[in-house]
Amino acid sequence: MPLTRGRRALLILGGLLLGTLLGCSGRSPRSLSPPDCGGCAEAILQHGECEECARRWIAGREVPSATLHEALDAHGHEVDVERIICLECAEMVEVDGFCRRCRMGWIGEQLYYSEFSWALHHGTVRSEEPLECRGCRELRGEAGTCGRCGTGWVGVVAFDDQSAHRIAMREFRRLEEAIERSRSCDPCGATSFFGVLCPTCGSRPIPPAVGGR
Amino acid sequence: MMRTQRGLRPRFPVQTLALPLLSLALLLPGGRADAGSHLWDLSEVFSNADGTIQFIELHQPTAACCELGMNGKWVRSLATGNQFTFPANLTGNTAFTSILLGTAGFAALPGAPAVDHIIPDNFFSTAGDTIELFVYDSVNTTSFPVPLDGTSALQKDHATGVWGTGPNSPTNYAGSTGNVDAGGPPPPASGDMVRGDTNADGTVTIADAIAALGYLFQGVQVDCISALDIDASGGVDIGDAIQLLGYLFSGGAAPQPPFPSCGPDPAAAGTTTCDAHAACP
Repeated sequence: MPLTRGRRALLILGGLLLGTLLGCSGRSPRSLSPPDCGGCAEAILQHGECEECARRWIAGREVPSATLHEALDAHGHEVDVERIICLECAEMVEVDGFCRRCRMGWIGEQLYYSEFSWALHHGTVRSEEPLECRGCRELRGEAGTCGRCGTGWVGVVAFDDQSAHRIAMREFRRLEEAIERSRSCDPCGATSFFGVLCPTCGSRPIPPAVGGR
Repeated sequence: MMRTQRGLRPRFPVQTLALPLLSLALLLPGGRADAGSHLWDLSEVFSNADGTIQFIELHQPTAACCELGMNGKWVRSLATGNQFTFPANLTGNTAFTSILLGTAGFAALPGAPAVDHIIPDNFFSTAGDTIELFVYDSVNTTSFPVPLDGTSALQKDHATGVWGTGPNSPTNYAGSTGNVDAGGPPPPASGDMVRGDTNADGTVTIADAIAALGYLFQGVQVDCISALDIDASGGVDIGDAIQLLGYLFSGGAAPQPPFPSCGPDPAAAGTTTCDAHAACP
């Protein structure tokens, strides 16, 4: 279809508008996903593993140790809540709470194996989408609170719930330490995060260790 | 690998070694574990006074079917340094199931259900200890002492999480339960074994070849080393694992006696030993 003068003008106007919108962000949105891998992008959303690339993610942080990643297993798990034996867990299911006895959390009848996973799922993974707030754009990928809009960030997870954000921030820093430890001694990542003395190198837990499953 | 059946018949009638070897490469540690195991708890701890009769029972107190990923997970004692590492993932449905680790002396007691895995005598200290199940659970037996009267056990109430004592009730993965009296001296283990049943689950499958390779190359613990000596040469090497695979998948020579039934090791003069074989209590 030949472009009429009017359509051409609209196209030029649209291009100018798009350029203006992109330009006013100051810089392009911070990209935290590896290039050209849809599997990794999906894994980041799920705190999971990209089998194609053999890369694992939690809150947008790459977790090189499969042992640590598996121990955290940071997604929800379906369990028949009608047949829960632990009385405290049964109470926590009702209030989306965290059972300190079993060190397991509940949200929407989904089970989370650590306080970190449980807290993370009070937030929203925003790894890809453009962010309007400049402060959030700068903070995404790190841990902190946006000085402009008050949104809490832990990696690529955004929080409105300040209590969950505090827990997730604390545990995120412990995760970063665990990742570092796992680079020289693989079991250390999981053991030190979960409050157990490493059987391989004797490394002590990363305080404060709440523990998990 | 848990005790699931008593027959000793190959379960994978494949005619070439290509498929099993490929499967082996995928199954060996380092591969990805799909199944979880986070919901297992320490459940019951038992010892007699001298520590020769001990068991540790794990329990999965939820309806979750698939807490199968135990390969590489451990149970250990901080006081003695003893550690048992699971050689393979579980099979079957894990809802409300138990796993039983016991010493050979315990396995030989009347009333004891078949243990899923043998642990050495004095696996944990009777004088106070911390027993850990991977990063999932632990119990401090200084705070909660294990009774040493030969009949009572330290037991967790899974409704409240509180540890207390009660009559021992060891339960294995197959669901068999029992009760033992360990007040007297332990009867000796039979010393019998089945060659080829390297993981002592009562059946010879590819899992036994994997366990043999784990022993050879990854330091996985095996209680009955003689069961790995497929050709009864008096030593264990890669040739034993290859012969077992050949028998399972390409009509190769069967393991040397005792096979396929339990019996004493006629080549016991070799360098291999058999402290206990759970399939031949």
